[in-house]
Amino acid sequence: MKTSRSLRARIVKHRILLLMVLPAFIYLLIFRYGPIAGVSIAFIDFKAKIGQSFFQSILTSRFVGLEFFKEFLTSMTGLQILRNTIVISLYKIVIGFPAPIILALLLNEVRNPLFKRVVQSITYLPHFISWVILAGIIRMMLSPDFGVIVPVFRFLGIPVINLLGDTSYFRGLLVATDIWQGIGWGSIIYLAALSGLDPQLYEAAAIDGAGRIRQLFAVTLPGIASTIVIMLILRTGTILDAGFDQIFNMQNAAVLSVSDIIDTHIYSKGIQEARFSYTTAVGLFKSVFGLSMVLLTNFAAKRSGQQGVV
Amino acid sequence: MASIKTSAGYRIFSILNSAFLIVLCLVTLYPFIHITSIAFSTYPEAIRTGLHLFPREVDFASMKKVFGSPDIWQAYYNTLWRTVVGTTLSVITTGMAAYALSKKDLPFKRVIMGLFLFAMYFSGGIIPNFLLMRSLNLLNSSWSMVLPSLVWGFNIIVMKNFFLSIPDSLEESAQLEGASELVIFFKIVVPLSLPVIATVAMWMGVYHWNAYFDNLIYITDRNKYVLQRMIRSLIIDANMSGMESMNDASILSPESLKGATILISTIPILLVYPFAQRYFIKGVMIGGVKG
Repeated sequence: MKTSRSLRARIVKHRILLLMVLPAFIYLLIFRYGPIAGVSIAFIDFKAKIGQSFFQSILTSRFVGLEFFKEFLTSMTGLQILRNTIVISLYKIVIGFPAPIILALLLNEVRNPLFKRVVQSITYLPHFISWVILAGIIRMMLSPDFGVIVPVFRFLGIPVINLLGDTSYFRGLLVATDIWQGIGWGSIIYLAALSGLDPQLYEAAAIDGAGRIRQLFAVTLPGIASTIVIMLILRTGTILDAGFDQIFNMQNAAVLSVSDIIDTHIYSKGIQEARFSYTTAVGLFKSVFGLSMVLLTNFAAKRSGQQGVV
Repeated sequence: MASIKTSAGYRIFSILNSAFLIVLCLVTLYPFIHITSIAFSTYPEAIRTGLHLFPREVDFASMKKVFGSPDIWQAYYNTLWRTVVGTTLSVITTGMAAYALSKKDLPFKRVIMGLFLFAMYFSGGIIPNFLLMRSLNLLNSSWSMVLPSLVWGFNIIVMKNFFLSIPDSLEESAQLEGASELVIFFKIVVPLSLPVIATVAMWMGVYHWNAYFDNLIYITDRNKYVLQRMIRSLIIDANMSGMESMNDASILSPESLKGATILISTIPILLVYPFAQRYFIKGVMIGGVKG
């Protein structure tokens, strides 16, 4: 009884502070935890019926358990989508992950501060522009009718093809444009790590007769290794995010077989075909997988001697 | 620092390095130059293949057409509305909550923070969100673009940490004079917290300016399309009827109309870019350290 009274006293004392947190708290309950509670429709065969409220529809729907999860994880389509998601993500990690590190190392060697700042400002730019715009520009440039690349094909003497509509090039284009968009922005964190390295280490290495290349491997890379490891771990944690905004705006029917990922699948089956329960199950699978990966990678990061993120 | 022996090799490296970085800048900038050039080109020039560094034959007709299009102005207005209203409401609700949560003694503090943190890493997903908006009767309402992204856990953490760094003594003297926490927050804390407010406002502003997906799934009324959505429907969905309605006499090339549309929606971002860049880098640093 005593604790509850003191809690009541604290509530009265801090009533204004509590009122200040109230709008955000109501928002949190409705717009964040509402949908989280809504994932329950993944376990029923939810059919919205006319004249019924959302809750009435839930109560009158048939319970199906894990049927929709099974459908996604065992059907040809589901496996294809899972495979596309992971393959595109892995391509982006293997090829794209080192790019900003290399850029940071190169920028770190620039002695002219103005030149360095200009390069940084220019390469950060695409990060601020939405993928709708970027994809629009890429489509114009790669257009087989009017694009920049048409003379290149003519020069090489090969027939003009639509790179964006070709299953053998589309994933490559996703990786290339992803690097183009993110290389500058991604380099910031490594530049910060590089600027934190002690110049005395370089002087000591130089006195020991280490040349530039030797210094790179003996001082620079070990110095930013922890940043690289934690960024890699964090990136691996989001392996089921293959880049929805980019793919959604760049893909078309011709390349769907190589680029339909979990999020685009949820959009087309859920919003366009109204298969609510099935797509909620797919989304829940992704969320749970994502959360476990975050916890797992966070654990790994802590184990490797890094500060965790959660 | 470099010994004399390595300096010749290093000089070659420096030249190659600079050359590479210049090429990288050109590759980054070229697409934007390309569409700008095409936006100001005549029909035959706009559909010419190959490089477009500047319009060889200048024509302002496409830009005029896009500027004169009611669809584009309506979409511009909708984007501005969500950016201004969304950012303002976000900053106010996030700021007040973060201030309250920065107080040690606040009841339920751990529970509320825990709920925010969990929501940062776990979401219901697209479909439950869509069904929620439908049952709240918010489909086709402009509020469907503002309310779902009102408070981000990350912003709460950033603002809370800033408020914690403000010395208590400043607030205590006001408290002795009988001012309530709400008054203290708006009269004393807010003026001291302009840097963090500007940072969060910039993040939310750029988020709202570029957002399109909520608009795409919650809104079907063309009068409520935001700019990015309008561009998507004109260029990505290749909805040429939209372009043709803009292009009644077919004297303009669709390419230059596309270029002009992209250009006028990108200009505002380019204008705030020099400021935005600074605030966004701050976000990367906090994110890198704190997560």
